[in-house]
Amino acid sequence: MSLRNIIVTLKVTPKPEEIRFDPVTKTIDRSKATNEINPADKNALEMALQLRDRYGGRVIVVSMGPPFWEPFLKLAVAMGADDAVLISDRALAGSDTLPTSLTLARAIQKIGDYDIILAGEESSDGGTGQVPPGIAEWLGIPHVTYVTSIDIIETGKARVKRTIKGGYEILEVDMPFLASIELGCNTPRFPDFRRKRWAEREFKLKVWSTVDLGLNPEEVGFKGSATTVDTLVELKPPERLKRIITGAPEEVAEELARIIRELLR
Amino acid sequence: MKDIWVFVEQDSGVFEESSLEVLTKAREIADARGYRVTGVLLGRDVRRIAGSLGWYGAHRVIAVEHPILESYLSEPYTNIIGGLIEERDPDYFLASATRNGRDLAGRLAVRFRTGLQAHVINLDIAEDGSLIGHVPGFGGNIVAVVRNVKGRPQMATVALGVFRPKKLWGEAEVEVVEAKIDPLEPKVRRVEVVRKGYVDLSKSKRVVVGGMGTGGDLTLVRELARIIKADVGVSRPLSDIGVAPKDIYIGSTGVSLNADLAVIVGVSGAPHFVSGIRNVKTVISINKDPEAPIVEYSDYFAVGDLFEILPRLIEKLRGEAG
Amino acid sequence: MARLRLDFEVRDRVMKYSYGTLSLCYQCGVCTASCLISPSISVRRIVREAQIGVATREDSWKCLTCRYCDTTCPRGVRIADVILGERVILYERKMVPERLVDTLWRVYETGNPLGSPMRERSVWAKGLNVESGVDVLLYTCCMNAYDRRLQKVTRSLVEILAKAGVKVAYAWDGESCCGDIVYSVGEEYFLEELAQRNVEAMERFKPTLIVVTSPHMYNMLVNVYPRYKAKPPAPVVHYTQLLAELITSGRFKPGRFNGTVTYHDPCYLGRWNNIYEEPRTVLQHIEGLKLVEMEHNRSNSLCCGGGGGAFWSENVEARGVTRRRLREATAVESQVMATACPYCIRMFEDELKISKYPLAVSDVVEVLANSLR
Repeated sequence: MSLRNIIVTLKVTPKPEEIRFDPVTKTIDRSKATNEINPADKNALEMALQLRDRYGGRVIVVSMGPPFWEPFLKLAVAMGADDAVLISDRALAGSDTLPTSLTLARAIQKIGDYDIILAGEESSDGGTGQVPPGIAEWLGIPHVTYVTSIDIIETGKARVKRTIKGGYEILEVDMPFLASIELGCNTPRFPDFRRKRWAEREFKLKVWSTVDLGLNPEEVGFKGSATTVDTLVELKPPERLKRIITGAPEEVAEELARIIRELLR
Repeated sequence: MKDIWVFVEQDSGVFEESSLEVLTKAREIADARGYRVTGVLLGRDVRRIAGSLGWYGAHRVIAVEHPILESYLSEPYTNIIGGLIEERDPDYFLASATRNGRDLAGRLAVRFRTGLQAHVINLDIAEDGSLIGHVPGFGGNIVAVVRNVKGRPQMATVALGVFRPKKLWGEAEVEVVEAKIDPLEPKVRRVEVVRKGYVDLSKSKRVVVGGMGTGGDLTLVRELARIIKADVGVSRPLSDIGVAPKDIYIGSTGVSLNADLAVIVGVSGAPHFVSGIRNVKTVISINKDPEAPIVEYSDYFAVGDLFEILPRLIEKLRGEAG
Repeated sequence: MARLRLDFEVRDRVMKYSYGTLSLCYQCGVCTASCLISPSISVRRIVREAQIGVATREDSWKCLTCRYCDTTCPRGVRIADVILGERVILYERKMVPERLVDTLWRVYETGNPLGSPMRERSVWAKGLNVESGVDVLLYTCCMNAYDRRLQKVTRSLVEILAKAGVKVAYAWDGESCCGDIVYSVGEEYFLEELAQRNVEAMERFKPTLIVVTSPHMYNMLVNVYPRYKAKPPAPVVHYTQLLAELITSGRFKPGRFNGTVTYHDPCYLGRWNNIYEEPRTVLQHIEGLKLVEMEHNRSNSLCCGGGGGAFWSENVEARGVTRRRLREATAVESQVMATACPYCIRMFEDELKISKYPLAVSDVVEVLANSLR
């Protein structure tokens, strides 16, 4: 039994440790941070590629973001994706998870013919983890979160492994379904640089706007969002005492014992 | 009078502790405004335990029973709770940000075209009735103050371990509701559950953490932990090389500690690690390298060889416990 | 017994990587006997299987590429090259240890295998009160740039060179990983891009000399880059060669150090590139310093255990190799083991944190810098 389309949603995120916060303007400065494909989405893409390797099908990457994400989508193609779609539109600026999941769902519907949709469990910047179940709800299909492996057991049915507290559960799911993939559950393959060169020179990325997806301006962006950010606050790590203790092991141990006894009181 | 609904997660008759945290917080918010807190409890045989949720803050509890609900499964849970929300139109809906809580909330928020705030570390209701939450992002260094602006119920998932459950009130009134299982043939079916022993380090009050400086030998770390009645954690590299399981490594992709005391041994203090100790009250580090980055994140930093210091420290503390 | 599929295309490809020496092997087994990580791999078997076109043995990943077997092979088979050729094929078949794939991603995304931010590459040079030069380019290994312990070596080097009147252009814009780990993993297409990009970055300086801080980097620029259509724009030297030249020509006068020092030959400097004497020359010109040789030195030196990607794949078995060398150092009763490779220093010092041999590890530059105090 062969799979049809395996769709992977992909987000480009700045590396969290490189974000700078301006306490005066209370804004986030992403400009100096290195951008990368959201790590969990890489795991999702790897999962999709493995499914295709085993069961056939086409892996299509879908992203909602600004034009500068294009090289990252081409990187996904270099990793092995068959096609890539970028939904880029100024009207989408300011979208929270509600219009984001709607937009991605519409794009997925437009691509059509899908058996499995994969998404990273959460993104390293916003980290809500809400978009994948949201997309499934818009599409009216079942979903499973925190998935670490997927096997197709017969036409139209898959068996997935889901992480739960203290272990895992095995679930059987009817296709089509959406799975959010656990960060680190596999090792994403390194891109094929010959394919990357081809992707950069010849591959044409599909770029869709909200009009292409039949979305109204009230459904997306700030207007379409159900939450809003009032302000941003920096959460500084707590001030530490930084008391240094030196000396021979016996003395150091004595001092530490004293401190610990005091704390345990 | 406004209604705050709190999804109380349970598994085989045992409440998820973080759900009780949310219940208490909801009650505190409710008491300040004269609102009502309703626990929503789904499970196999839960009517008997539903009332006890009142102690943690629920005024009343809606209990739904069915064998299929024994532990969380997306379809029946979403459909049953969705049906109840449709019928009764609560103002707010909260859940703990466990995997299942976020799974459920993510789907429900779209079903009702409403706002959902993710793993808030603080929560309140404004004058105009809108839900205000503090949402951490970007690895936890930046917090966004977020407000729900449209849709009902207003939703949020709450970060684990931020609030404390308090047993202050009394038995809650329980309403048992007939489970409407639809579809009868669910598209997701559970086949097997495998559970191993589980230590929730994020709840530990005292932790001793071993890093690569131990060379993978956690004997002294475990002994110290035993003496001071602490749990044992590791830095990620030790888990990567198979010395310790994945559930106990500390860091941005692992456990975030909320302990009163953490003794950190042989860990250099890379950024990924230190984000996991930011909420620890007192941090004591032991490291051979006086310039290890972890100095900046420690209250007490002992310079020296852990293999020399720990045995002596253990001897001195033996019998002290506390 | 499992059926082996013979694939002569594989044999032909590995033959090419081995410079035709693959066919010389007559299965004597001296390589396996002398292999430093024996018995965890059988070198003889790997070479035999390559001869019949079977390249599926994942043992090839454990090889430290130290070339110890190369020097003992009575037929001159370039065994390390056979293994690296096999790795190209294993890579294509996606049979690569996960940690090494993770390392490739880090080199691609951040320009260094540690995964440290690209824009922090020059932080090591902050506060260095030395004017940057123009035509002598110092190409700093990622380890020397980002690792806090190794940054001390880099700073000392720049200061000493300045004292000797050599102004190097250091911490320059566009400096990026030389790709040694990419080469060790058998990935060739990213390597080609990387090599060409690095050469372009260096060409902007129109250098007359390129000084590298790592033997692995030396090997890449001198031996590997030309194979990937990337020729360095100037002659390349390891810094010990430059220091030796400065000292013997009288342009730099070392100070004094009263102590016994032994020198560990890094595999990629010694066996790979025949650079044995210059580091010793530097040490021998330090007054009062007594240089002693370990039992295995020069071409039969032991390995630190970090080569061939072992440092990045965290090859736990190689620790035995590291310890063996540390024991040899203590056996000659030296207080300091000096070496000239950032990986060797890290391997030895990390091991010393656990097994407490009475020994200090230093870079040759650090011994020189200390002598000046």
